[in-house]
Amino acid sequence: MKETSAEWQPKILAFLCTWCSYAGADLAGVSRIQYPPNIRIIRVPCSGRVNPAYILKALHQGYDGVLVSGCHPGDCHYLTGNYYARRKFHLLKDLLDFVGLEDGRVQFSWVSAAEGAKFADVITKVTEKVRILGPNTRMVKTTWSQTT
Amino acid sequence: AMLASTVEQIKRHPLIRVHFNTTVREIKGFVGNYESILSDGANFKHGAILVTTGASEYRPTEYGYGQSATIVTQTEFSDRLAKGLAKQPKNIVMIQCVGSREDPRQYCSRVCCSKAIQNAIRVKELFPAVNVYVLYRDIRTYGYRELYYTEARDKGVFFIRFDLDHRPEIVFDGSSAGTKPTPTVVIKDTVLGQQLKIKADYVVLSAGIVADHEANDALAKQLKVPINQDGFFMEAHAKLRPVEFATDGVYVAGLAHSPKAVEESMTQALAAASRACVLLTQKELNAHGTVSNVNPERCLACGLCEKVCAFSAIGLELQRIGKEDRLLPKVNLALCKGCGACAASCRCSAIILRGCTEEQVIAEIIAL
Repeated sequence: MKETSAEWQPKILAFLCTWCSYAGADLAGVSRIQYPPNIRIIRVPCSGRVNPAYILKALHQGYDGVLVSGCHPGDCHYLTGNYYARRKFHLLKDLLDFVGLEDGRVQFSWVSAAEGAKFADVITKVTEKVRILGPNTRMVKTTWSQTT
Repeated sequence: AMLASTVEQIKRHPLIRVHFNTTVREIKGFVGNYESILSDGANFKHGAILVTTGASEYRPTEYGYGQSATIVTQTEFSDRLAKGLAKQPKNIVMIQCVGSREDPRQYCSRVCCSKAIQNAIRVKELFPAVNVYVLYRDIRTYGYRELYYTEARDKGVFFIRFDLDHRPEIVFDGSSAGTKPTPTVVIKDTVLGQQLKIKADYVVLSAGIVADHEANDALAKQLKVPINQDGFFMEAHAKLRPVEFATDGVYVAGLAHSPKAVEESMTQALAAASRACVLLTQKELNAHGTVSNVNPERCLACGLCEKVCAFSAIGLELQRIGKEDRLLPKVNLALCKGCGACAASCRCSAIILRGCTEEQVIAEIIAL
């Protein structure tokens, strides 16, 4: 399917934990499961590695959506990292709601290493949601130049 | 008597020291470098820890246990059989899954069906005319013990199936003189579709195996290892690492880990000892490179990193930086797994996780 260069495509950043979500994404690839190509992946050792500041940074940089995905509760390779990630995400979401960022731009999921199809499903859903929301205009860092 | 020679070997072995009736007061250190203090004052260094604290038999509260001298557990019944029953019994009823496979313990205790059938066969050998009834939900005679189940059936042991909605009931017959009420077991036989009332000379309860949840919890906190919801120690991985914990240097075997038969405990213990030896034969331990590092210039010593670390690999300590003593986090390179929970929690960006630094992540965010 060919898109014209003028048509906007969502640009989504995905933080995937090495042991589960990244492996799940890998499995999706190996299984040749199709999913939207709009995500850029950053592999982290654990979803607990993700500092909420990175998510804010991504939004400043102009990403239209951010996904953080980790191991299922109880299955974290580092035992508790995903629990901390979930709590941080919960607090961040409250902050983003307060600040006025549209609901659905920043999302969180649990995908295990065996869930290739689920990963593809999550990406499809997140991409569609962000596509409906449109480009990120509220938190992207913009500079203006003044012309005399 | 069976263990007499093993006990002798242990007593005589120059490298084995047994402390009876002692508890561990404190364990300091980490894998390869432990120092333990016992309640009898003994103090020594060691490289590994093996947890074989066992478990106990469930003390039933159901089926009239405690209300009659003839309502006993399988182990108590085994004792009585060995000593010899006072008089020839007519009916013996065994009830399976007592305290297992239902809330609050959903697990199967693994050994009770085998034990019950073993005892049932023994009874039939001693008193061929006795009626032995085994009331069960499922018969789980693991492995080759299935042959004993066949033998029991061949010998004429009755097996009556029930489910949780139609449990056996113990009714006490008031007619026997004062001291010892005779239990009658009431059970609906699903094949006949009728209720049976069995006046039992013995009601033998196959009580399950329970962990000492409180004691295990306390020990687990000392050793920094996890406990599962049933109070047993939880291994690192059921298939790939069955005798170790996520925390390096600690190993587990036997009933402390889960209900199992004696030979299974022995096998697991040999495995745990082997794994401990793999550790102990090394002169040095190589830490993987992806560990945390602290930048003292940025650190506020808030202690959040210490709180979030699942491996107790980072902790605030007084350290000499230049000319002054400061409270700063110290990373234990042997314990750090490189997950980055500390780095992610640090509000001063004072922790550098090698291999996934903040600068690296930000660079990726900008570049992608």
